[in-house]
Amino acid sequence: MLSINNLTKLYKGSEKGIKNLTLDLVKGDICAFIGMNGAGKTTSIKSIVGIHGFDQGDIELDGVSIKKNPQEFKQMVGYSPDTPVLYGNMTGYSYLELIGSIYQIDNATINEQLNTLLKKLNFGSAIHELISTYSHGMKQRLVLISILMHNPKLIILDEPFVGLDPNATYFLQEEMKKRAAEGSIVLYSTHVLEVAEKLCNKVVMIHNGEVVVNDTMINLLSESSLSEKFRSITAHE
Amino acid sequence: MSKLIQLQKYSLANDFQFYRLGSSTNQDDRKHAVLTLAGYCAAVVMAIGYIVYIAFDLYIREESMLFFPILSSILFWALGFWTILSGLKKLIFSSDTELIFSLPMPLWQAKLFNVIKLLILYLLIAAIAVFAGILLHMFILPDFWFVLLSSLLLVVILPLLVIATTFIISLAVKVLLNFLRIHSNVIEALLTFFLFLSPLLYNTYNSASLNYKDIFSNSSPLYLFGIISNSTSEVGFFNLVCLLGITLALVLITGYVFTKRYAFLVASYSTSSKRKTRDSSTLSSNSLFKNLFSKELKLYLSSITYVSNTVLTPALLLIGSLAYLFNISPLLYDYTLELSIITLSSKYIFILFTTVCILLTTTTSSSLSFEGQSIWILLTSPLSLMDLAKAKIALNVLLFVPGLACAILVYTQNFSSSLLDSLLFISFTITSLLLVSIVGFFVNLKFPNYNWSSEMEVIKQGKSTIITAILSTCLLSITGILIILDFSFTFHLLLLVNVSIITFLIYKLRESSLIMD
Repeated sequence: MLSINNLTKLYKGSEKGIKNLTLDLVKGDICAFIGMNGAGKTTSIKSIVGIHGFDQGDIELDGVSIKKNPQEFKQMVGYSPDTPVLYGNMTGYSYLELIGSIYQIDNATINEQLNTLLKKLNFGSAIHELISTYSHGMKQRLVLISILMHNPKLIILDEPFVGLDPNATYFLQEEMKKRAAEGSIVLYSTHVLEVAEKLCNKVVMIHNGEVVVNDTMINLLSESSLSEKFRSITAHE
Repeated sequence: MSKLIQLQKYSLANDFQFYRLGSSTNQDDRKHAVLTLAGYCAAVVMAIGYIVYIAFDLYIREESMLFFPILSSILFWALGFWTILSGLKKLIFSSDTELIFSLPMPLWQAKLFNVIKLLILYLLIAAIAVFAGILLHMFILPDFWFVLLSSLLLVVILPLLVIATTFIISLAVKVLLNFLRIHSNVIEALLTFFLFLSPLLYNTYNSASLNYKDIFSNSSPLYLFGIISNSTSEVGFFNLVCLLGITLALVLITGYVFTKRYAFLVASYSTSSKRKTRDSSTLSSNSLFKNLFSKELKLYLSSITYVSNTVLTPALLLIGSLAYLFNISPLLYDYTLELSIITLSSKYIFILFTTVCILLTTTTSSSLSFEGQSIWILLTSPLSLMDLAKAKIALNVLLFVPGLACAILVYTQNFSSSLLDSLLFISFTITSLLLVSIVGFFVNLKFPNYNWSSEMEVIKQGKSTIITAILSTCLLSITGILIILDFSFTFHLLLLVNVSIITFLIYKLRESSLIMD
């Protein structure tokens, strides 16, 4: 279970950031994280995955606190950023080797996962080429392989469909459903609301650093579409 | 042309952080901009102070005629050295290159945009230095108007000459190494430095004394780097015409390559994608240290700027120690340095040389910042800070291993008085290397900068690099004083200090974590 309690993170000398975010997600949840540009989505995500420190609150995954035990917490998380800046001078293969050793998974397990993922994401021999030669979509696919190969309990994706081709998009949607069915929690930020409506069972909307909607998708859709709800919240902007 | 000037104005103002100073509402941003500008101002004041010192020194020795040759020489070598350290890649493309090429301006202006920016900067530096010199010599020099006119010419010639010379040498080395299929940034950096500095090294080697006046005046561009004799001490019309001719020729070559062979330049300085293709897709290695270290090594070797700025002292230690080891000059073992009340024997000169080389630079002071925007990988990984520190420190240690091994061999064979003395030297040098590496890493952890657009911002101008340099200078001064005073317990004390600080920092590192504010 992912439990976020009163998470507050404000940037120095500014009022921007995230205020009192509280969120509980259980195994099997796919949660859409929605908000305008600059609403605080990426700040929240970066706090959850341990990139940023935060001012108040705590985040726990299966009882493990990121504050008290960041290493154990991160071991259970897979994160894909909105812009995947990778080590350009490494090959995709050596990058996966590095990630594999950091997560300390035995080679047999990784190789089994790796071969399946490489085939599904249509990587081919490009895996042995330098990352600097990859397109945005290829980097995105490489990050997806790296985060999925260690079977994380919590998958966090920051605008994951940007730059992916239709095949990779389909793969990712199916993989999100499959991983959630197997017991993982998936939290992802997106602006593509139509896809979120079909894919997610929970939704969190954030506006000016504060949570304005935290509900199940079924409840929300019974009132209005996601798009209508989003427009009504942000209408005065 | 007005578009180019306008764009250059914005670009320079951005580089010097004027916008942060003027319009940012964030206090941290403004503080950073103020500190950066204060740093630049301090550098200008120090440079002018040095010019005043040279003028005064030459005046009391009645050698004022050598002032402009020496000043032009120092400017040429210092700016040239800086240009090579900054990396030629920076002249060809930068983070705003795509934007500049998309703007409605002539193509040649877009291609030469970064060169022109550097030229403006160097013109400014040369003008400040030369006119400060003129003011100091207004009432001393005969033919003042000739000096003034030739100085004006010098302000224009020097920056052009520096940029064209360094560009041609760097490109020639690159092309040669590509032809020989050698793809090593370390070899490229060392060879470029060696070729560029060869007139200065040659004149130093041939100098009767190690006096800066002899060395710099002989290597002055005004005497065509020693080709024209400086015996008359006067800079005549002929010298200036020759220099102007050479500069024009080099500028034409540089301009031609930039405007007509720009695609070749971009291809030469882009990352190579040639790699051996492996057949299997099975991961073979599961060693964390090995993979992290391999990543560090690849990251380090990927940047000629990073390599150039950190490989000089390890290389100097190796070359110096080899010179001692093969006894290339009897002077090495007989030379003594007379200070006011103390005479330094060759043994202590060697210890100081080794210590200076080890403590002067470290790769670790910018190794975290150098991760740049890919830092998210380490931040989100279940890694302990010590795992990361070990890999980054190992890289700095690796660079010094060949030089240090030779230095230890030299000391134990030629300078050591006992087994204990040898062991103390070995322990002292190794702990000093570990100490400076850990200090660099620790400082970078406290003052990281992951949002940079040019490698120089973190490698040379980063807060952590500057703080580490100040700390290592303090460490070096204390070590130097203790070695010069030659107490019987000097090595014991230094060793104790090194081990204590290392232990303390390891303890602090174990408590710390890698996180962004």
